[in-house]
Amino acid sequence: MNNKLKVLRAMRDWSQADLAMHLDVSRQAVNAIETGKHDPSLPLAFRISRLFELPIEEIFDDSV
Amino acid sequence: MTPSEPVDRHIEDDSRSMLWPAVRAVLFSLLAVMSLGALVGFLASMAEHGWKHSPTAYLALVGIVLVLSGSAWFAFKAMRALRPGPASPRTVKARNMLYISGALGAVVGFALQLGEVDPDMLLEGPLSPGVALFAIAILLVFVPIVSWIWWRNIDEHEAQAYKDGALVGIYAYSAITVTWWFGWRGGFFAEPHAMIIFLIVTAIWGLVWAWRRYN
Repeated sequence: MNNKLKVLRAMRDWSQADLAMHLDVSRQAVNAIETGKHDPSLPLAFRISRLFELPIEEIFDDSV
Repeated sequence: MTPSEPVDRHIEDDSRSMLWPAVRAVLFSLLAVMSLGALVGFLASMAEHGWKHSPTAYLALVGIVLVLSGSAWFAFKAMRALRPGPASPRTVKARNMLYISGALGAVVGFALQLGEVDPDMLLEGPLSPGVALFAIAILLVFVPIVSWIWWRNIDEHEAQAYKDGALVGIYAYSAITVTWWFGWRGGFFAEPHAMIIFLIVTAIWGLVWAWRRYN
């Protein structure tokens, strides 16, 4: 699934490791989500949404 | 700056694959463990013969120590490359459980090396009862505890990588076991060996897990 995680992370000058710390996941998980290899679960998607204070639909895009 | 605007600030490219550092860490760790086993066996043999050996034997001993030291060092460096930057407490706890699992395996391997009655019958020979009980206690008591703590602390990405590995592993187990069984009954293969199948399936499970986790 496409997403704006890398852009949102860059706006806060965070590395993948920094974002992983905030989300309480591993850096590999953040990398997998950013590169589209892993779609986050609903609870993780909500944590991402609350962290960046944006609706889930503005962060993730499931259109083909 | 909105999410739709291009990012013109330099972002450290930390999206590189961790697969090859993970493979290096595993291979060098295996080499270190095997070297340690060779060192223990070599020393036991030398002690048995009263430490009267040719200079060549002592040179070989130095060589084994060098291989052990070098592989341990490269394994350590590869493992450090796997974790750039800070990590959440959960990630650290899960990682520590992996290290403890590896250490338990090394301890059991070391004990097996000491307890082998006939080293030529590696997978089938008798073991001293104490070593066998020790290995069973590790397997039935400590491994479940460590595994439970690890499972409770991994994130969903690693959990999915683990399940993917398990799925491929069970298919591999089905294919290998049944094929070997039919082949044995048809006279093509030797009798199926449970531990060899277990080792192959475990290796496949681990490789798929590593690929999904670190690639």
